Amino acid sequence: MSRDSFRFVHATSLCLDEPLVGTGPLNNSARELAEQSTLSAWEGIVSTAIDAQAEFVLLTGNCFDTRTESLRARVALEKGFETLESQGISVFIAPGNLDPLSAWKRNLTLSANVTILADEEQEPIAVLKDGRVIASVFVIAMPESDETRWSASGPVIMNGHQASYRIGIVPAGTPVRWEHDRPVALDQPGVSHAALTLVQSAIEKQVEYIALGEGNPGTYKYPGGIANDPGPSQSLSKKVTGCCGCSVIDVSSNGETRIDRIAVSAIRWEETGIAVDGHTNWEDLVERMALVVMELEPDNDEKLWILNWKITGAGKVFDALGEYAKRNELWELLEAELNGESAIQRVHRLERVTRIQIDPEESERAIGLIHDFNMILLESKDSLIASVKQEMLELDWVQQANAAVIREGIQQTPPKELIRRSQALAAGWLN
Amino acid sequence: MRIQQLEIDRFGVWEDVTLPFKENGATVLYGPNEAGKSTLMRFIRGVLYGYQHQDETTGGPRPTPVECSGTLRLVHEGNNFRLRRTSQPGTRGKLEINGRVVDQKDPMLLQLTGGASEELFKNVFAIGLNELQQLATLDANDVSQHIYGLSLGPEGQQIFRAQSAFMDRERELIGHDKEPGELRSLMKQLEKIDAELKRADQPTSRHASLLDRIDKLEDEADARKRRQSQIQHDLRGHQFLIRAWEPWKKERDLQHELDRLPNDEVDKETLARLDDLELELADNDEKRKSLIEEAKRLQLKAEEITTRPELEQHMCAIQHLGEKSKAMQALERGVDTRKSGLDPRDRELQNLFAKLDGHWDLKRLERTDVSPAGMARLMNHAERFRSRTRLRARTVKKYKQQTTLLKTQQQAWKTSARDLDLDAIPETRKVLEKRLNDLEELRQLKFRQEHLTKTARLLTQDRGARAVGNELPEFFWLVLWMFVAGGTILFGAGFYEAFFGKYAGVVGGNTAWIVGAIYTLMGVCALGTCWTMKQHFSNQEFRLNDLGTEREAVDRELLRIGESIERLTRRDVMRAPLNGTTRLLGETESLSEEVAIPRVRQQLLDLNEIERESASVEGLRRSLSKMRTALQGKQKEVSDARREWTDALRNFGLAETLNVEQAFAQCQLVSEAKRYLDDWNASHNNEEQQKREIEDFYKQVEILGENIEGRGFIVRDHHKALEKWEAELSLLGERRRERSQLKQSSKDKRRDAARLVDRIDLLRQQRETLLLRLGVAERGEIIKKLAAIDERKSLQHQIHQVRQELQKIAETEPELAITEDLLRKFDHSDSRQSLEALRKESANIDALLQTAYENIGQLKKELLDIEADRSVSSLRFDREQVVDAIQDLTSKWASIRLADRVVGHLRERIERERQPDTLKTASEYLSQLTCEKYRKIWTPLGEKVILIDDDKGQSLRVEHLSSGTREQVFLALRMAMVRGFAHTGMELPLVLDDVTVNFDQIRTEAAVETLLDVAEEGQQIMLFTCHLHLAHMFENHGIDPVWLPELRAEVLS
Repeated sequence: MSRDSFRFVHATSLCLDEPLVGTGPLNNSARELAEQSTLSAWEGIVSTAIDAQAEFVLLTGNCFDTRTESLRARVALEKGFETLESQGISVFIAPGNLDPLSAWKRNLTLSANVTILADEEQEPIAVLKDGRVIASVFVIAMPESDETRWSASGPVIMNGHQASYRIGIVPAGTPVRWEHDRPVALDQPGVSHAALTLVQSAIEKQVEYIALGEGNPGTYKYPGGIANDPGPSQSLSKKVTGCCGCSVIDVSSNGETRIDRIAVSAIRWEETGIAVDGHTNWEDLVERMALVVMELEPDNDEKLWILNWKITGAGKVFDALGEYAKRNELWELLEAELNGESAIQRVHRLERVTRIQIDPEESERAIGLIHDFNMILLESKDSLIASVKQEMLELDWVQQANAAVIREGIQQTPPKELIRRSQALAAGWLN
Repeated sequence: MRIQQLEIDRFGVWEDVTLPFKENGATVLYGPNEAGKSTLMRFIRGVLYGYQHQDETTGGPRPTPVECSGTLRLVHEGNNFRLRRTSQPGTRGKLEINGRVVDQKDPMLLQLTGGASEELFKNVFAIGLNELQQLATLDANDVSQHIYGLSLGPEGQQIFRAQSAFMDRERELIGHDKEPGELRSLMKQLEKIDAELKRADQPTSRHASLLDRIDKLEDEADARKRRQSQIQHDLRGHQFLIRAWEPWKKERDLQHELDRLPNDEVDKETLARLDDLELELADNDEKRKSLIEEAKRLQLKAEEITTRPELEQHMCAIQHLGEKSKAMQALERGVDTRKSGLDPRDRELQNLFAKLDGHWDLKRLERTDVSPAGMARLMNHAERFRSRTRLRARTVKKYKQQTTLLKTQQQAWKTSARDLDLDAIPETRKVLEKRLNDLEELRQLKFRQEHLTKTARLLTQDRGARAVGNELPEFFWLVLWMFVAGGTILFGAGFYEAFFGKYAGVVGGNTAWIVGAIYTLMGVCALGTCWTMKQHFSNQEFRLNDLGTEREAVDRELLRIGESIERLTRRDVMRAPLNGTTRLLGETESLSEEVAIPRVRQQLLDLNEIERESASVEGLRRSLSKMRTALQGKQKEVSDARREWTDALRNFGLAETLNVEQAFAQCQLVSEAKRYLDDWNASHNNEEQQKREIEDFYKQVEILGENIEGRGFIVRDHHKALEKWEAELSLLGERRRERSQLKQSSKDKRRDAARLVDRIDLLRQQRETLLLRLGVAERGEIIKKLAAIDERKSLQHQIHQVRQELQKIAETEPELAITEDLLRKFDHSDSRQSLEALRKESANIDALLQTAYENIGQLKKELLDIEADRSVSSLRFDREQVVDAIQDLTSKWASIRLADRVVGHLRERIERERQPDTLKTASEYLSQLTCEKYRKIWTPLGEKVILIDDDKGQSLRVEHLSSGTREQVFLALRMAMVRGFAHTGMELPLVLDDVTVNFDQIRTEAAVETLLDVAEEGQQIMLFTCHLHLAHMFENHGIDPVWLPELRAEVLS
């Protein structure tokens, strides 16, 4: 079937004016860059939409965090929308869990080109080009999708509608994640599986493009369509590494969908593991690290790389890296090795997995201790973790009002993380 | 070590006492209080480790020294030992082992005690109730390491270390109020940031407030702008009214004036017709008069025109000569030019002559042959001359190079041969060669002499007969035989192959004999090798009966060699050096042959080098000589070529020169001059012919002049005369035509004038008719009527203009409209006042608007500042980093706790399962001692604490136990330690002095059984007691107590 070709920009998790987490100390310029990074990424998305002559921009949730009530985020959004309006580019927004519809209505003054898609029951919005409908945009599921709240008509995806090109949105915070090109429900207590049902229905009905907004970059193909998550426009932590930005989606006249990822983020996170041993010297380490950096391809918009080096192993070099001065020396050596390698500013962070070398004779006799440790830990991890957390929460000073962050930290630390760290500790002392 | 017997000479209360002990099992010594039981224990300790001061003094307030002495009879590893210690002042007693005096560190003593220290013996092996009750006695290093968890093995230590590290890390993280750890510090930092965030302005509300204020100000400004717009509108209205009022008034006045004028209806067309008739009448009348006058004037003019018939008669001659006149004028100019100055070509020639070398004129130029053949000859000569010159130059250059090379080589050769007489070189070479031969011969002779000397010495020494040769190993012969067999086979096969070519099919018929030959050859080689090896390694025998003859021969040879050496040496000394060869020969005289031979060889090489250089120089000289001859030949060729070239130049007419380019340049100039000359000659002949033609032309013109103008007419300028005649001739026709035309025109004019008379009459009649029709008698009346009409028109035009002006004014303000009523009511002064008032209000509003806009700008700037303000974001950034760090540390803290918890479990397990053997054994003993009331003694990791588990699994610290139970625990521990020590080779008797006094009956019986069990395991036990029931208990178990004397007396009594 011949139809009009068109192009649109898909971005998600802008998290405007939200701070980056885990950058460590930064110099003034890097600091300013970090504080502006989400806003500059949004400007990059607007520029991309204009340069690409996109028909519309699709924002699939978490454009801002309503808890922050950031003025800068609001102003940046409004300006961006105005700029897009001046270029005749429409904007379709599906609110996520951090930027609910109420926040959009309460806080922002939206220009005429902006359309907010309220929920999965809202009728599809027709996208026009030269007076003809080129696509329809609708919400497949929302973070709070629940069968009990559906009206008689039910979600749009259940009713089914025909359009030349259907774009379904699964905004950020929707309790669905993708594993092996298939959607699965987030297995959390109190979370409805309605969202999963809706997404599965969209796949069955061969919705041409499913716009995912969770901010975990990835593209998943299914018969008749494609689901795409462009990832955050600016990664806020080392959880998402590599280039970040938006997707430019080209829909050809024969309905083929082509996705180009455009990087707009000014700051890029990278995490690299390097193992050292007793034979590793400084030159080897610096050379290996320099090679890793050289193999990274910089994007035009990137101005700062935050490189998290995860050093594991043992030996003199490993021990020396425990000292602040030695780490700085390492960064200096590395930067000297990388002299002339791109104009991007680099910030290095080091995570060292501690291991204590004990007397070999003792080590030989101590075989099995770590095994026993892991056995005990894994056998009764839930009860152990629960009791440890409870014990910590019951401490007087933890119960004080100013220790809310610590309580939150105790409660929110994932068991896997606790187990991993405990095992690392034990490996250092019992191995 | 086991004690067999105590022999106390004197110790405490004991004198001359001998007490036997069982080597295996328990020995119970019963005695009442003050029977000397504890003294016996001290005696044993004293003999083993030395007497104490109190042992060697008497009791009472004034102790006096007492000499102690006694003997322990021991069995150790099947050997009997006798340890005797006698008091010795200043020491702890003199120790003798089997009669040999030894010190305390004697190895035998250490072997006997198993290395147990006195303290260990006192705390573990020989204890009384006091030692038993004191926990501190278990804290000594030797003791505690067997009890406490310090010794839970490497794993226990690892766990202990891990838990300590976890604790330290947790302390670092948390700290306490006075010295907060990382986490608490971060919390404080977070509190500070939160406080700063609270203090920071709420940008959102401030932003909203500013937006509101801006909106209000903009509303106000809009209202003022609207009022301003209204005022402007009013102003424009007033101004419009003022502008419109004047034209409106003017239009009204004009209209009034127009209305006043009479509106006569005059037939304008009739009037126009009358005007036309009058005009036409006047015009025709005037035209008639002018025609008559023109006719008269034309007639007169025609009469004035005259003609010349003689010119018409010679018209053909005039035209012919006139045509010829221009060509003649050109010829005249050419002739005049040549006459007046030099011909241009002549100037060119003179210039060229000036450029040429030597005196050139036309004659010389005419003589010069510049034909192509002549030029070719000249070029040939030039080319030859130049080639010869180049050849000579190359030869000269080469010659110079060779000369330079010769000089260089000659210089080098002179330097190397500066001290040599060149003529003596061959002789020097001969001398050196001779000397080299002599030296080599001398060296060989010396070698030979040395060899013979050794031989002679051997011959002198070896008077006995003996076979010389090495015994060869078996495998040598085996290998040799294998070589022989292999060689034979190869030879046979090769021979066969060579003759019969069996392998022709494989290796080819033609090459079969080659293969065979190779095999044969290899076989022969192998056989030859075998033969040679056999000959070489076989034993050799020396014949003894020829030694005398050989000695004589050797001596003769030695004598001969000695003479030869002397001869050669003398000759060497006597040889006089040749002139100029000193440098080469002088230094070899006093040197040994080994040094001199290489030096002489080097000198010979140097000499060869000098000769080679000399030959090279000579070769160069010869080459230069040949080149000189060749150069002379080249020079001769150059001379010939130069002569031919100069001859050619001379023949060509040019000056002699060796510069070929210059000569050819001159040649080029000569050619050019020659061309000019030829041109000039050709043009000169033409000029004469032209002069003749001009003369003929003049004559013809003069004849024509006489014919036209008459005889005696002199022609001054022939060409002008001709032009004049031609002009007159052309004018003559024109004049004739003009006169006839004038006459005809005159007639036409008169006819036209006649025709106009009729027309004038007709027009007059029409005018009269028209005046009658208008009703006027004359034209003036009509003019008055027309003036009134014109005025009316003028007024109407003015009104139209005023209205247009009004229209334009109205168009400037299309939005405004003025009514007739307003204009009528318009008062100029009132309007001015209103205008002024409005202007004032407008200025006031402008000022207010300016202020409002300034305020708005300021607020907008503030708004932008707020929007661009990063302070809150920065604080949040900081907060997030701190929160992240807190959460990370919290996670670490939790993981430390988790790890600690798991390690705690591990610790418990290890404490439970991996207690030291001592504690395990002690637990068994305790269980037995307490009738299984208390089952386990254990110690936590890293703590010097003893815990006891009861039958309910409850762990109790030892301090919390009853004194009896505590003593049982300690007894169990000691028995376990004794057992443990025994396993390490420290076998000492266990001496117990009334340690069960606090035990109840049941546990006493249990203790007896336990001790007997221990004794059965091979431990020697000596139990001192003052309790009879205890002695009986042992007695009941078949252990006969040793009744110490006093007690025995009581029993006996």
